[in-house]
Amino acid sequence: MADVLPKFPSRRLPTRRTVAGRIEPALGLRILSLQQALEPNELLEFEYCIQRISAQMIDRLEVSVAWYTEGKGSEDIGVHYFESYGRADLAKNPLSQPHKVAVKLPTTPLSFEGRLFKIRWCIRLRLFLADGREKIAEQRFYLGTVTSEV
Amino acid sequence: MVRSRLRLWGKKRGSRMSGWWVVGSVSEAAFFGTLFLLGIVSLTTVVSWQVFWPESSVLKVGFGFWLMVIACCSFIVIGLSGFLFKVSGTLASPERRNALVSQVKREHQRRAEGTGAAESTILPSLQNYTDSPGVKLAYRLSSESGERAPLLVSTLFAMAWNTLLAILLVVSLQNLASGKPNWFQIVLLALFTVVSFFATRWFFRIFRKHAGIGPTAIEISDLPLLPGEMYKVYLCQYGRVTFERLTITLVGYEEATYQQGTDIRTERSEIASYESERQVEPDGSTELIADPEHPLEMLCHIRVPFDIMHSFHGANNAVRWKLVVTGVVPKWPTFCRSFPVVVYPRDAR
Repeated sequence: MADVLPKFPSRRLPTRRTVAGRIEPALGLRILSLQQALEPNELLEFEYCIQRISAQMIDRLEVSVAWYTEGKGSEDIGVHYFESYGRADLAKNPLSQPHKVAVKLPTTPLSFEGRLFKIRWCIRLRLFLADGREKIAEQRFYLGTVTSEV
Repeated sequence: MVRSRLRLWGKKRGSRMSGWWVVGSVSEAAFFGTLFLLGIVSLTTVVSWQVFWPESSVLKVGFGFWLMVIACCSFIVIGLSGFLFKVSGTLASPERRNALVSQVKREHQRRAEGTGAAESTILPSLQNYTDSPGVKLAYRLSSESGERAPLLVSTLFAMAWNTLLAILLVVSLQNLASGKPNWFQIVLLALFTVVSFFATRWFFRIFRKHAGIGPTAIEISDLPLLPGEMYKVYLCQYGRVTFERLTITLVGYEEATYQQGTDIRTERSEIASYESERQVEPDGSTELIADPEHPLEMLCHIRVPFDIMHSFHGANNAVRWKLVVTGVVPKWPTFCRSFPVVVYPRDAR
């Protein structure tokens, strides 16, 4: 029997840098509907909030409802709803308070799970920070009644 | 710590890149920018040389001059488009770019059509499917155009190869007649004959498959197909043929196009198939015989299930539906012809 010991990195973990040097913002995103599967033309309601960061440290926030393909083929993307908020827009309301958005969903494309590719619907928050970094939060949902496994 | 921040190259790890992604984009933009500048400088040099020193023998107007002009112009076009594409990709998120493109497309469509909401671009247009009215039912479907490609390829290949063989044969016979046989030519002739035999056989097999059985016409009661609905399908088979079995099936395929190195490949997989039910004739006959005076007519019903995936035409991925007619004929290759149809979601019409 051989003793297997865990391998640790030779240098120390950069805890001070991530904790003290640069505070990571927290993006909160929640679908308000009770179920994950939504019907075409249904109203999608969701809320988002941004914590641990002030509006001065944000360059831009993009909120989108989009579909994209995932799988063997190159990615296709379609944006159904898109809003971009600048620093001035974000400074009007407290960021940590939930911001509600309601979007009427389209009829196509329905979520699809094939062998070669899948069509996924998601709500995406893309936060551009003033220092050039980018943070993304994504919440998937299922659109339509096509069977999930083909 | 400094080393990890200034890593100049990265590796693709799944859907993300290690390293600093900006460096890659900046390098690509710089490459295209340099190409653009090179094109501008070269074109200016070539043209100004002719303007200021028309008597010079260097870069005289002729084939070489125009070749240089075309090369410089292509550098400018490739460089400029690549640079703009890279810069727009770096400055805007994929969602922002897509939203802008969608908005422009909607505006363009609205202006072209006058008023009304823009149609979805991921659903195939019905115009190509409903432009041919049927005799018995509403629409006559056109067969898939790609099915004739193997016949065309085999015809061209067999013709070209046999021409080559004939030329070689004439040259070899001439050498033999003059008493100077070229053994290398004779061996080559034997090899060419073998390839010619297989090419001709391949051509006749495909030709027999296409021309042996007469044309097939398919008509459908309505389009687009909607989930949960029942449709009538009318088949008319011309020519002289007796089928052991003949079925009409609604088949769905998913297609994914991807880049592999410098190649662009498309992969296809069947996702579902639903066989139609044949309507029994009033006289109860179930014979599947067609002759030139009396083509075989068949009326079927097909039910589209509620949970069917609609047709989807993305730039790289697609879901396509077609009615596939499959026939089994004694002592004949399997007969299979397909007719594209379009499936819409229930609420999209």
